[in-house]
Amino acid sequence: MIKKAIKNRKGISIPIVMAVAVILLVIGAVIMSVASGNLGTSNQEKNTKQAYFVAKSSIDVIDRSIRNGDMGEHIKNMVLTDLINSGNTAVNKNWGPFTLQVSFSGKGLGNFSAEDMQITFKSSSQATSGSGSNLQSATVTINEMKVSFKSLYNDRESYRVTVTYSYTGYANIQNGSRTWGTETWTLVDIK
Amino acid sequence: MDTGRHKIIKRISGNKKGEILIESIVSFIIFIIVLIGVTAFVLSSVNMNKEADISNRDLENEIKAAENDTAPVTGTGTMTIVFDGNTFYENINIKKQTAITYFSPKNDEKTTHQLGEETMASIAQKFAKARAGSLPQTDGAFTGERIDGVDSSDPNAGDGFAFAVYTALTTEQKSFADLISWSIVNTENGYYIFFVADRHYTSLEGATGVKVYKYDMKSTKYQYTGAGSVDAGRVSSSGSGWSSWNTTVSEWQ
Repeated sequence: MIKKAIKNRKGISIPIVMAVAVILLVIGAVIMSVASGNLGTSNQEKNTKQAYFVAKSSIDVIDRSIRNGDMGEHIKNMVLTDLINSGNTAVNKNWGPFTLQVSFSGKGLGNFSAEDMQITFKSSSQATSGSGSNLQSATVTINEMKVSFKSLYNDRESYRVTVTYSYTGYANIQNGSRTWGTETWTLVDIK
Repeated sequence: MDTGRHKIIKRISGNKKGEILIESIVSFIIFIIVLIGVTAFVLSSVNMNKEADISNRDLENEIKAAENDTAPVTGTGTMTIVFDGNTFYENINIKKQTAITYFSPKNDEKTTHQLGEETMASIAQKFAKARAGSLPQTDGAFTGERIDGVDSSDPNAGDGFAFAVYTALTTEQKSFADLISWSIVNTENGYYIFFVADRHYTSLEGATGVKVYKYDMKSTKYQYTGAGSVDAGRVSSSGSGWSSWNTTVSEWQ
């Protein structure tokens, strides 16, 4: 009887401890996996938001360049030059798509990029005085000007955006020098 | 009365007690090691969760700051846009937070250096169009030896290409071009833009021994020589005494 009892207890504690250990390790691994997933989701969320702000910031700068800067000035002059070159008193035209290259420089912007930037628009220009190389004044209207691009953060997270503008303006030309008056750029839509 | 049988049982019993003790100790050690491991797992998980929580809370605050544009400016930079053969440099304020970095337009004038770079790049791009026969207000492709910027704002002066290049510049670039003297000259190594960086010579003016820069339209780098000359506003160089290639023009700093 004693022999049997002793025989039964022999080596039983190690398997029990091993079983408990396996259970504990599995529980620990599950907890760790969930926590790691949370952190991963949090980082993913951060990167996605960062891509959104690359897009938003880029739109702010492009908006300024179109409404009060070089890009807008270049676009309206393209339309006016086209009217002059045509020799006609009125021109309606679809432009683009023009492909633009964008780059960023500055501390902290190393992982920022913008790809596939394109501009398309429809123009309508009308001479109000003179025509061709003797054009003295004209109205310029730009409709459905779409600026679209894809912002990227770390070359992975991306955000695609399309901004639509319209423009109306009046130009006077004297000795080849152009003066613009009564003009309005309107931001129609952001998608 | 002690029998042999009892002695054997005692010995076996004694032996088993020792084995159980060793077994218990081994089990205890295994348990402790596993417990330490699992505790480390759990603590690490708690830290990760805490980090994720803090990260989410910070992110939320930083997003609010970015949406309302209330984050402090931490630096400045440039957004460069190349469109239809023009290079536009837009100055920006960088607002770097812990998680979110964003930027906004910097409402100030461009630096002389930026305007200079922009103007040179634009002239180069218009010239490329002229060579391809696609520059507005010109007939056919440019095949000549030089285009001189002097009086280029006058539609009745020069060969028409200078006026066409000048007209295609933006207002800012035109103003800058009015302050310098420039000529696009064909050399044995191809076309370069020669320019005097700090003075505009009219068609009635000239000088020798002036500092003339050479702009390489491919590499966008500059060289200068003190042996340049301006004849009736047209910029030339003796072709000797050139500096090494640089990315800047000292007069524009």
